[in-house]
Amino acid sequence: MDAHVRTLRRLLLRSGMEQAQALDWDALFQDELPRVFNFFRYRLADRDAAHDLTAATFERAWRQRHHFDPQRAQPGTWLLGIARNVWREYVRGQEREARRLAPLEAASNQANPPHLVERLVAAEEQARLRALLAQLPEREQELIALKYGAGLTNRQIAALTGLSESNVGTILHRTVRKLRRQWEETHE
Amino acid sequence: MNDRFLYQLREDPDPEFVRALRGRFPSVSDKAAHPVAPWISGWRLAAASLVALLALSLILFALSPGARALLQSTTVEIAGRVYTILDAYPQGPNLETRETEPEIVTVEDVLAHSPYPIHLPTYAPPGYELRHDHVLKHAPLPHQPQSHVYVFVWRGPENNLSLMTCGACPWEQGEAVAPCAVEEVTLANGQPAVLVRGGWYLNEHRWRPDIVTTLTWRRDNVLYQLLAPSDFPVDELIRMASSTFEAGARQTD
Repeated sequence: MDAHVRTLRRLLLRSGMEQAQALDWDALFQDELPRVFNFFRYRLADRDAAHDLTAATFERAWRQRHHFDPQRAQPGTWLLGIARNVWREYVRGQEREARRLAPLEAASNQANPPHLVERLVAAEEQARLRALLAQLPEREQELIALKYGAGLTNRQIAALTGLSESNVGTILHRTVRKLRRQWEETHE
Repeated sequence: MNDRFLYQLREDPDPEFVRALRGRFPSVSDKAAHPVAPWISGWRLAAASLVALLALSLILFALSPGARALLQSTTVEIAGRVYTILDAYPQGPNLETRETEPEIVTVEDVLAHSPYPIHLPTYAPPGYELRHDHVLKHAPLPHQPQSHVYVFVWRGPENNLSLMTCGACPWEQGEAVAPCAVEEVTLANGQPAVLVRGGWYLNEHRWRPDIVTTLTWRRDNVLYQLLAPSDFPVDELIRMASSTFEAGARQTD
Protein backbone atom coordinates (compact mmCIF):
# COMPACT_ATOMS: atom_id res chain seq x y z
CA MET A 1 0.00 0.00 0.00
CA ASP A 2 1.43 3.34 -0.96
CA ALA A 3 1.46 5.78 1.90
CA HIS A 4 1.68 8.80 -0.37
CA VAL A 5 -1.47 8.00 -2.25
CA ARG A 6 -3.16 6.90 0.91
CA THR A 7 -2.33 10.23 2.47
CA LEU A 8 -3.67 11.93 -0.61
CA ARG A 9 -6.94 10.13 -0.44
CA ARG A 10 -7.31 10.88 3.21
CA LEU A 11 -6.52 14.50 2.55
CA LEU A 12 -9.06 14.58 -0.22
CA LEU A 13 -11.72 12.94 1.86
CA ARG A 14 -11.12 15.16 4.83
CA SER A 15 -10.30 18.43 3.12
CA GLY A 16 -12.15 18.06 -0.11
CA MET A 17 -15.31 16.47 1.10
CA GLU A 18 -15.61 17.49 4.69
CA GLN A 19 -14.26 21.00 4.57
CA ALA A 20 -14.76 22.32 1.08
CA GLN A 21 -17.83 20.45 0.09
CA ALA A 22 -19.60 20.06 3.33
CA LEU A 23 -18.81 22.92 5.58
CA ASP A 24 -18.14 26.37 4.25
CA TRP A 25 -17.55 28.04 7.58
CA ASP A 26 -17.85 31.59 6.30
CA ALA A 27 -21.16 30.82 4.63
CA LEU A 28 -22.34 28.92 7.67
CA PHE A 29 -21.54 31.84 9.95
CA GLN A 30 -23.18 34.40 7.72
CA ASP A 31 -26.30 32.40 6.87
CA GLU A 32 -26.99 30.66 10.13
CA LEU A 33 -26.06 33.18 12.81
CA PRO A 34 -29.45 34.94 12.69
CA ARG A 35 -31.25 31.59 12.78
CA VAL A 36 -29.35 30.37 15.79
CA PHE A 37 -29.70 33.70 17.56
CA ASN A 38 -33.46 33.74 17.00
CA PHE A 39 -33.77 30.12 18.05
CA PHE A 40 -32.48 31.26 21.43
CA ARG A 41 -34.29 34.57 21.30
CA TYR A 42 -37.62 32.82 21.04
CA ARG A 43 -36.81 31.00 24.22
CA LEU A 44 -35.19 33.77 26.23
CA ALA A 45 -36.35 37.21 27.16
CA ASP A 46 -32.77 38.02 28.03
CA ARG A 47 -31.11 39.24 24.84
CA ASP A 48 -27.63 39.03 26.32
CA ALA A 49 -28.19 35.41 27.24
CA ALA A 50 -29.28 34.70 23.66
CA HIS A 51 -26.03 36.24 22.49
CA ASP A 52 -24.06 34.09 24.93
CA LEU A 53 -25.73 30.87 23.84
CA THR A 54 -25.29 31.78 20.17
CA ALA A 55 -21.59 32.27 20.78
CA ALA A 56 -21.38 28.98 22.66
CA THR A 57 -23.06 27.21 19.75
CA PHE A 58 -20.64 28.56 17.16
CA GLU A 59 -17.63 27.89 19.32
CA ARG A 60 -18.68 24.28 19.75
CA ALA A 61 -19.43 23.97 16.03
CA TRP A 62 -15.96 25.31 15.22
CA ARG A 63 -14.36 22.68 17.44
CA GLN A 64 -16.50 19.93 15.95
CA ARG A 65 -16.42 21.05 12.32
CA HIS A 66 -14.25 18.15 11.20
CA HIS A 67 -16.85 15.71 12.48
CA PHE A 68 -19.58 17.19 10.33
CA ASP A 69 -20.97 14.54 7.98
CA PRO A 70 -22.77 15.95 4.94
CA GLN A 71 -24.44 12.62 4.39
CA ARG A 72 -26.28 12.95 7.65
CA ALA A 73 -27.36 16.57 7.81
CA GLN A 74 -27.35 19.91 6.09
CA PRO A 75 -24.92 22.37 7.69
CA GLY A 76 -27.73 24.51 9.11
CA THR A 77 -29.52 21.54 10.58
CA TRP A 78 -26.27 20.25 12.06
CA LEU A 79 -25.63 23.64 13.65
CA LEU A 80 -29.11 23.84 15.14
CA GLY A 81 -28.60 20.35 16.55
CA ILE A 82 -25.64 21.79 18.43
CA ALA A 83 -27.77 24.77 19.47
CA ARG A 84 -30.35 22.40 20.93
CA ASN A 85 -27.66 20.70 22.99
CA VAL A 86 -26.35 24.05 24.17
CA TRP A 87 -29.88 24.99 25.16
CA ARG A 88 -30.44 21.77 27.08
CA GLU A 89 -27.22 22.25 28.99
CA TYR A 90 -28.15 25.82 29.72
CA VAL A 91 -31.55 24.84 31.04
CA ARG A 92 -30.10 22.03 33.12
CA GLY A 93 -27.31 24.14 34.39
CA GLN A 94 -28.25 27.29 36.15
CA GLU A 95 -30.68 30.07 36.76
CA ARG A 96 -33.30 28.29 34.80
CA GLU A 97 -36.30 30.12 36.14
CA ALA A 98 -34.53 33.44 36.39
CA ARG A 99 -33.50 33.58 32.76
CA ARG A 100 -36.16 31.72 30.83
CA LEU A 101 -38.88 33.91 29.42
CA ALA A 102 -38.95 36.54 32.08
CA PRO A 103 -42.33 37.96 33.11
CA LEU A 104 -44.02 40.64 31.11
CA GLU A 105 -42.88 43.57 33.24
CA ALA A 106 -39.25 42.58 33.17
CA ALA A 107 -39.20 42.00 29.44
CA SER A 108 -40.84 45.29 28.62
CA ASN A 109 -38.44 47.14 30.83
CA GLN A 110 -35.48 45.64 29.02
CA ALA A 111 -36.49 46.67 25.54
CA ASN A 112 -37.94 50.12 26.15
CA PRO A 113 -36.84 53.29 24.56
CA PRO A 114 -39.46 55.11 26.68
CA HIS A 115 -39.73 58.16 24.45
CA LEU A 116 -41.01 56.16 21.47
CA VAL A 117 -44.61 55.18 21.89
CA GLU A 118 -44.60 52.80 18.93
CA ARG A 119 -41.66 50.85 20.20
CA LEU A 120 -43.11 50.76 23.64
CA VAL A 121 -46.26 49.20 22.28
CA ALA A 122 -44.23 46.74 20.26
CA ALA A 123 -42.21 45.79 23.31
CA GLU A 124 -45.35 45.17 25.28
CA GLU A 125 -46.76 43.00 22.54
CA GLN A 126 -43.55 41.04 22.39
CA ALA A 127 -43.63 40.59 26.12
CA ARG A 128 -47.19 39.33 25.94
CA LEU A 129 -46.20 36.86 23.29
CA ARG A 130 -43.22 35.69 25.33
CA ALA A 131 -45.51 35.16 28.27
CA LEU A 132 -47.78 33.02 26.12
CA LEU A 133 -44.85 31.01 24.80
CA ALA A 134 -43.56 30.51 28.31
CA GLN A 135 -46.72 28.66 29.21
CA LEU A 136 -46.27 26.09 26.49
CA PRO A 137 -44.81 22.67 27.22
CA GLU A 138 -41.09 22.30 26.48
CA ARG A 139 -41.58 20.42 23.22
CA GLU A 140 -44.01 22.98 21.83
CA GLN A 141 -41.72 25.82 22.87
CA GLU A 142 -38.87 24.21 21.00
CA LEU A 143 -40.91 23.62 17.87
CA ILE A 144 -42.08 27.24 17.84
CA ALA A 145 -38.50 28.43 18.28
CA LEU A 146 -37.28 26.22 15.46
CA LYS A 147 -40.14 27.20 13.15
CA TYR A 148 -40.52 30.91 13.80
CA GLY A 149 -37.17 31.76 15.35
CA ALA A 150 -34.78 29.68 13.27
CA GLY A 151 -37.06 29.61 10.25
CA LEU A 152 -36.80 25.86 9.63
CA THR A 153 -39.25 23.92 7.50
CA ASN A 154 -41.33 21.16 9.05
CA ARG A 155 -39.11 18.63 7.29
CA GLN A 156 -35.94 20.14 8.76
CA ILE A 157 -37.52 20.22 12.19
CA ALA A 158 -38.50 16.58 11.81
CA ALA A 159 -34.93 15.64 10.88
CA LEU A 160 -33.62 17.52 13.88
CA THR A 161 -36.06 16.34 16.52
CA GLY A 162 -36.74 12.80 15.40
CA LEU A 163 -40.45 13.49 15.06
CA SER A 164 -42.21 12.66 11.82
CA GLU A 165 -42.86 15.53 9.45
CA SER A 166 -46.62 15.08 9.75
CA ASN A 167 -46.33 14.99 13.52
CA VAL A 168 -44.39 18.25 13.49
CA GLY A 169 -47.06 19.81 11.28
CA THR A 170 -49.85 18.61 13.52
CA ILE A 171 -48.23 19.81 16.74
CA LEU A 172 -47.36 23.18 15.25
CA HIS A 173 -50.84 23.64 13.85
CA ARG A 174 -52.42 22.84 17.18
CA THR A 175 -49.99 25.05 19.08
CA VAL A 176 -50.35 28.01 16.78
CA ARG A 177 -54.12 27.76 16.91
CA LYS A 178 -54.00 27.74 20.68
CA LEU A 179 -51.59 30.66 20.78
CA ARG A 180 -53.69 32.57 18.30
CA ARG A 181 -56.75 32.17 20.44
CA GLN A 182 -54.93 33.29 23.56
CA TRP A 183 -53.36 36.15 21.67
CA GLU A 184 -56.73 37.42 20.55
CA GLU A 185 -58.21 36.96 24.01
CA THR A 186 -55.53 39.08 25.59
CA HIS A 187 -56.18 41.76 22.98
CA GLU A 188 -59.83 42.07 23.80
CA MET B 1 -53.59 29.67 9.49
CA ASN B 2 -52.74 33.22 10.53
CA ASP B 3 -49.44 32.97 12.31
CA ARG B 4 -47.92 36.32 11.44
CA PHE B 5 -48.04 37.44 15.03
CA LEU B 6 -45.50 34.76 15.87
CA TYR B 7 -42.79 36.36 13.75
CA GLN B 8 -42.65 39.55 15.78
CA LEU B 9 -39.98 38.23 18.14
CA ARG B 10 -37.41 37.95 15.40
CA GLU B 11 -34.46 40.25 15.85
CA ASP B 12 -31.00 40.76 14.50
CA PRO B 13 -28.10 40.08 16.83
CA ASP B 14 -26.08 43.11 17.86
CA PRO B 15 -23.57 44.05 15.13
CA GLU B 16 -20.79 44.37 17.71
CA PHE B 17 -21.55 40.88 18.93
CA VAL B 18 -21.41 39.51 15.37
CA ARG B 19 -18.08 41.19 14.72
CA ALA B 20 -16.60 40.00 17.99
CA LEU B 21 -17.80 36.45 17.49
CA ARG B 22 -16.52 36.35 13.91
CA GLY B 23 -13.15 37.47 15.18
CA ARG B 24 -12.88 34.43 17.41
CA PHE B 25 -12.61 32.11 14.43
CA PRO B 26 -9.66 32.35 12.08
CA SER B 27 -10.59 33.73 8.73
CA VAL B 28 -10.37 31.09 6.05
CA SER B 29 -7.85 33.18 4.16
CA ASP B 30 -5.72 33.47 7.29
CA LYS B 31 -5.09 29.77 7.21
CA ALA B 32 -2.76 30.23 4.28
CA ALA B 33 -0.11 31.23 6.76
CA HIS B 34 -0.07 27.81 8.36
CA PRO B 35 3.49 27.43 9.53
CA VAL B 36 3.90 23.78 8.62
CA ALA B 37 3.72 22.52 5.08
CA PRO B 38 0.83 20.10 5.18
CA TRP B 39 2.66 17.26 3.54
CA ILE B 40 5.57 17.22 5.92
CA SER B 41 3.80 15.72 8.87
CA GLY B 42 2.04 13.28 6.59
CA TRP B 43 5.30 12.01 5.10
CA ARG B 44 7.00 11.67 8.43
CA LEU B 45 4.04 9.86 9.80
CA ALA B 46 3.86 7.69 6.71
CA ALA B 47 7.49 6.68 7.14
CA ALA B 48 7.00 6.04 10.83
CA SER B 49 3.90 4.03 10.21
CA LEU B 50 5.61 1.90 7.58
CA VAL B 51 8.33 1.04 10.05
CA ALA B 52 5.75 0.32 12.71
CA LEU B 53 3.71 -1.77 10.33
CA LEU B 54 6.77 -3.74 9.30
CA ALA B 55 7.65 -4.49 12.92
CA LEU B 56 4.07 -5.33 13.75
CA SER B 57 3.69 -7.61 10.76
CA LEU B 58 6.83 -9.55 11.71
CA ILE B 59 5.41 -10.12 15.17
CA LEU B 60 2.00 -11.08 13.88
CA PHE B 61 3.43 -13.40 11.26
CA ALA B 62 5.26 -15.20 13.98
CA LEU B 63 2.26 -15.44 16.25
CA SER B 64 -0.98 -15.81 14.42
CA PRO B 65 -2.19 -17.55 11.25
CA GLY B 66 -5.23 -15.28 11.26
CA ALA B 67 -3.08 -12.21 11.42
CA ARG B 68 -0.97 -13.54 8.56
CA ALA B 69 -4.09 -13.92 6.46
CA LEU B 70 -5.11 -10.39 7.29
CA LEU B 71 -1.80 -8.99 6.22
CA GLN B 72 -1.73 -10.94 3.01
CA SER B 73 -3.80 -8.43 1.14
CA THR B 74 -4.10 -8.80 -2.61
CA THR B 75 -3.45 -6.28 -5.32
CA VAL B 76 -5.31 -5.66 -8.52
CA GLU B 77 -4.33 -3.62 -11.57
CA ILE B 78 -7.02 -1.39 -12.99
CA ALA B 79 -6.28 0.89 -15.93
CA GLY B 80 -2.60 0.67 -15.14
CA ARG B 81 -3.07 1.56 -11.48
CA VAL B 82 -2.34 -0.98 -8.80
CA TYR B 83 -4.86 -1.10 -5.96
CA THR B 84 -4.48 -2.94 -2.69
CA ILE B 85 -7.59 -4.86 -1.75
CA LEU B 86 -8.24 -4.93 1.96
CA ASP B 87 -11.01 -6.54 3.95
CA ALA B 88 -10.44 -4.32 6.96
CA TYR B 89 -9.67 -0.70 7.71
CA PRO B 90 -6.05 0.06 6.85
CA GLN B 91 -4.00 0.06 9.99
CA GLY B 92 -1.40 2.67 10.71
CA PRO B 93 -1.21 5.85 12.70
CA ASN B 94 -0.83 8.05 9.63
CA LEU B 95 -4.44 7.51 8.74
CA GLU B 96 -5.56 9.29 11.84
CA THR B 97 -3.24 12.09 12.59
CA ARG B 98 -2.95 14.59 9.80
CA GLU B 99 -4.89 17.77 10.42
CA THR B 100 -3.74 20.72 8.35
CA GLU B 101 -5.56 23.58 6.77
CA PRO B 102 -5.41 24.40 3.07
CA GLU B 103 -5.18 27.85 1.61
CA ILE B 104 -8.27 29.18 -0.13
CA VAL B 105 -7.54 30.66 -3.55
CA THR B 106 -9.53 31.52 -6.64
CA VAL B 107 -9.79 29.53 -9.85
CA GLU B 108 -8.10 32.39 -11.63
CA ASP B 109 -5.17 32.25 -9.20
CA VAL B 110 -4.76 28.56 -9.87
CA LEU B 111 -4.97 28.89 -13.62
CA ALA B 112 -2.41 31.68 -13.55
CA HIS B 113 0.09 30.16 -11.13
CA SER B 114 -0.24 26.39 -11.04
CA PRO B 115 3.16 24.77 -11.63
CA TYR B 116 1.55 22.07 -13.75
CA PRO B 117 -1.12 22.20 -16.46
CA ILE B 118 -4.69 21.84 -15.25
CA HIS B 119 -7.57 21.23 -17.62
CA LEU B 120 -10.85 22.03 -15.96
CA PRO B 121 -13.99 20.28 -17.19
CA THR B 122 -15.98 22.18 -19.78
CA TYR B 123 -19.06 20.26 -18.71
CA ALA B 124 -20.77 20.36 -15.37
CA PRO B 125 -24.00 18.52 -14.54
CA PRO B 126 -27.12 20.69 -14.65
CA GLY B 127 -27.45 22.82 -11.55
CA TYR B 128 -23.76 22.56 -10.62
CA GLU B 129 -21.56 25.64 -10.76
CA LEU B 130 -17.85 25.94 -10.24
CA ARG B 131 -17.00 28.00 -7.19
CA HIS B 132 -14.53 30.48 -8.60
CA ASP B 133 -13.66 31.92 -5.21
CA HIS B 134 -13.09 28.70 -3.34
CA VAL B 135 -10.29 26.40 -4.43
CA LEU B 136 -8.36 24.55 -1.76
CA LYS B 137 -4.64 24.75 -2.30
CA HIS B 138 -2.48 22.38 -0.31
CA ALA B 139 1.12 23.37 0.16
CA PRO B 140 3.71 21.38 -1.77
CA LEU B 141 6.56 19.35 -0.49
CA PRO B 142 9.72 21.35 -0.09
CA HIS B 143 11.58 21.71 -3.42
CA GLN B 144 8.79 19.88 -5.23
CA PRO B 145 6.34 22.42 -6.63
CA GLN B 146 4.56 19.79 -8.69
CA SER B 147 3.19 18.33 -5.48
CA HIS B 148 0.73 21.17 -5.12
CA VAL B 149 -2.73 19.70 -4.73
CA TYR B 150 -5.76 21.75 -5.69
CA VAL B 151 -9.36 20.90 -4.90
CA PHE B 152 -12.00 22.62 -7.05
CA VAL B 153 -15.62 22.62 -5.94
CA TRP B 154 -18.81 22.62 -7.98
CA ARG B 155 -21.74 23.67 -5.84
CA GLY B 156 -24.98 21.85 -6.58
CA PRO B 157 -28.54 22.10 -5.40
CA GLU B 158 -28.16 19.44 -2.71
CA ASN B 159 -24.51 18.52 -2.65
CA ASN B 160 -21.20 19.43 -4.16
CA LEU B 161 -18.66 17.85 -6.47
CA SER B 162 -14.94 18.10 -5.78
CA LEU B 163 -12.12 17.75 -8.28
CA MET B 164 -8.62 17.20 -7.00
CA THR B 165 -5.59 17.71 -9.20
CA CYS B 166 -2.08 16.60 -8.37
CA GLY B 167 1.01 17.08 -10.51
CA ALA B 168 3.28 14.74 -8.56
CA CYS B 169 1.08 11.78 -7.78
CA PRO B 170 2.23 8.62 -9.51
CA TRP B 171 -0.42 7.08 -11.69
CA GLU B 172 0.72 3.53 -11.12
CA GLN B 173 0.15 3.43 -7.39
CA GLY B 174 -3.49 3.34 -6.42
CA GLU B 175 -4.77 3.40 -2.90
CA ALA B 176 -6.13 0.67 -0.63
CA VAL B 177 -9.75 -0.16 -1.35
CA ALA B 178 -12.34 -2.66 -0.25
CA PRO B 179 -13.11 -5.74 -2.37
CA CYS B 180 -15.39 -5.11 -5.35
CA ALA B 181 -15.12 -1.34 -4.87
CA VAL B 182 -12.96 -0.57 -7.88
CA GLU B 183 -13.62 -0.89 -11.62
CA GLU B 184 -12.28 0.45 -14.91
CA VAL B 185 -14.39 2.78 -17.01
CA THR B 186 -13.66 4.48 -20.32
CA LEU B 187 -13.91 8.18 -20.97
CA ALA B 188 -15.36 9.56 -24.18
CA ASN B 189 -11.99 9.78 -25.90
CA GLY B 190 -11.09 6.19 -25.07
CA GLN B 191 -8.92 7.14 -22.13
CA PRO B 192 -9.19 4.64 -19.25
CA ALA B 193 -10.27 5.85 -15.84
CA VAL B 194 -10.90 4.20 -12.49
CA LEU B 195 -14.14 4.30 -10.58
CA VAL B 196 -14.02 3.63 -6.83
CA ARG B 197 -17.29 3.29 -4.98
CA GLY B 198 -16.94 4.25 -1.34
CA GLY B 199 -14.15 5.20 0.96
CA TRP B 200 -12.57 4.40 4.30
CA TYR B 201 -14.74 6.15 6.81
CA LEU B 202 -12.53 7.70 9.42
CA ASN B 203 -15.15 7.97 12.13
CA GLU B 204 -16.18 4.32 11.97
CA HIS B 205 -12.97 2.65 10.77
CA ARG B 206 -14.64 0.79 7.97
CA TRP B 207 -15.26 1.00 4.24
CA ARG B 208 -18.54 2.68 3.44
CA PRO B 209 -19.82 2.41 -0.13
CA ASP B 210 -22.53 4.95 0.57
CA ILE B 211 -20.47 8.05 1.24
CA VAL B 212 -18.56 8.85 -1.93
CA THR B 213 -17.76 7.79 -5.46
CA THR B 214 -14.37 8.67 -6.92
CA LEU B 215 -13.41 8.82 -10.58
CA THR B 216 -9.68 8.99 -11.28
CA TRP B 217 -7.93 9.70 -14.56
CA ARG B 218 -4.86 11.47 -15.82
CA ARG B 219 -3.88 13.88 -18.50
CA ASP B 220 -0.38 15.13 -19.21
CA ASN B 221 0.91 13.22 -16.17
CA VAL B 222 -1.45 15.14 -13.92
CA LEU B 223 -3.73 13.05 -11.74
CA TYR B 224 -7.37 14.09 -11.50
CA GLN B 225 -9.83 12.73 -8.94
CA LEU B 226 -13.47 13.69 -9.08
CA LEU B 227 -15.47 13.06 -5.90
CA ALA B 228 -19.23 12.90 -5.76
CA PRO B 229 -21.91 11.58 -3.43
CA SER B 230 -22.37 7.86 -3.86
CA ASP B 231 -25.79 8.21 -5.47
CA PHE B 232 -24.55 10.66 -8.09
CA PRO B 233 -24.99 9.32 -11.66
CA VAL B 234 -21.75 7.75 -12.85
CA ASP B 235 -22.38 8.68 -16.47
CA GLU B 236 -22.44 12.33 -15.43
CA LEU B 237 -19.07 11.93 -13.73
CA ILE B 238 -17.66 10.29 -16.83
CA ARG B 239 -19.04 13.06 -19.02
CA MET B 240 -17.49 15.66 -16.75
CA ALA B 241 -14.13 13.88 -16.77
CA SER B 242 -14.25 13.44 -20.53
CA SER B 243 -14.75 17.15 -21.00
CA THR B 244 -11.29 17.82 -19.58
CA PHE B 245 -9.97 16.48 -22.90
CA GLU B 246 -12.08 18.79 -25.03
CA ALA B 247 -10.41 21.58 -26.90
CA GLY B 248 -12.09 24.30 -24.89
CA ALA B 249 -11.03 22.98 -21.50
CA ARG B 250 -9.59 25.83 -19.43
CA GLN B 251 -6.01 25.25 -18.59
CA THR B 252 -3.05 26.83 -16.95
CA ASP B 253 -0.56 28.80 -18.94
